[in-house]
Amino acid sequence: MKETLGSSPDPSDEELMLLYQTGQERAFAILYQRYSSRVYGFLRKRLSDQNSIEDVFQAVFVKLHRSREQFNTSFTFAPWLFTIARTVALDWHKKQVVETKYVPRSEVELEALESPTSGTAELGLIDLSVLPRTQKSAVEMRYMKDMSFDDIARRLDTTPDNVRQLVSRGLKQLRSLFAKAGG
Amino acid sequence: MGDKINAKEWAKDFDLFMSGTEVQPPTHVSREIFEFVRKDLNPEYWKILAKLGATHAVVGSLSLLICSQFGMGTGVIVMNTFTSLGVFGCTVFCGALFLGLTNFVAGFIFAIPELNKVRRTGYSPILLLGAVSLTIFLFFGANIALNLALAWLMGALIAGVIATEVSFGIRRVFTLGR
Repeated sequence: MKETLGSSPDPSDEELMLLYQTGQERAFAILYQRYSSRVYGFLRKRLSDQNSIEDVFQAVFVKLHRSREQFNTSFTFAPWLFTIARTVALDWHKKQVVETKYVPRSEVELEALESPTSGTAELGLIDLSVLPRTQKSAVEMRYMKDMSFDDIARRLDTTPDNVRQLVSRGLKQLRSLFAKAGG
Repeated sequence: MGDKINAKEWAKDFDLFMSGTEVQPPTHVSREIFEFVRKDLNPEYWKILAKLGATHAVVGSLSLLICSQFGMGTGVIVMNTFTSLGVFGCTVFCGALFLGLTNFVAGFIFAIPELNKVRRTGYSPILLLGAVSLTIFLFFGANIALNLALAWLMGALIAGVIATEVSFGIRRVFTLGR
């Protein structure tokens, strides 16, 4: 079935883009009708789960809409739309990689550090020598020997509050070392 | 080298895009996209009024500086030219300058859907802005007869429409599709 819009009975993609740029919603509808299943099919091959496909698909058309005035109608529409789809999909991939790289080191490992029972193994992998001597002792006793703050305080001849501060500062320093190491 | 590989990858992906399996997107996703586009292409009327009002507050105030009639500016060229056209002519051109400049500027700073909204609503935001401006003049003590008020409004509306169309046309020719 031929669509009619503007002066042409069967406008080209580029003519439709020009009409879309001037605010014609119908022009967008026709372009969407022509390309949405192609974009969706392309994204299905690139992405695995349904939610991601839908999110990226929406993002592609939102980006198309927001950059519509930048489209030069002397060029072809399909490669332009494809470039948008590809870029959005690649950006999505990059974001996923950053998230999966970031979460375990900063959150999971540090959560383990803060929990005396589950943090022992992970703590063994960390070089505590970077910490000042008293902080290192406090952290070791707290997480490797599973000692209470009161016991550590007695051992270090200080108050439990001071031990809490020592441990807290030690963890803070380890966190910043993680961050610097690219976590 | 890297560029060549990227270009090759791009071309391969593009082929896949053009010849690959077409899959209909879910209806709810399409609906959301259409809703987003529809809303963006049809901005709310009050937002247009507010934006035009803000533009007018700046441009309209500046336009008063070029006519010493209002005691704000020192230039006499505009005042002398307009008054030489007689009371009616002066009033019409006063409204035209006041609203014309605002709408000319708005034509360049408004988004295309916003300008479309102004045009689609029969330029009513321009008329409303003119009426509000006139009311403010009256509030500040201007003594204007009804026929002159209408003449001012007519000048404001005509110039507002022309200015909108001219700036919109310039944008269309020089920016869209390029």
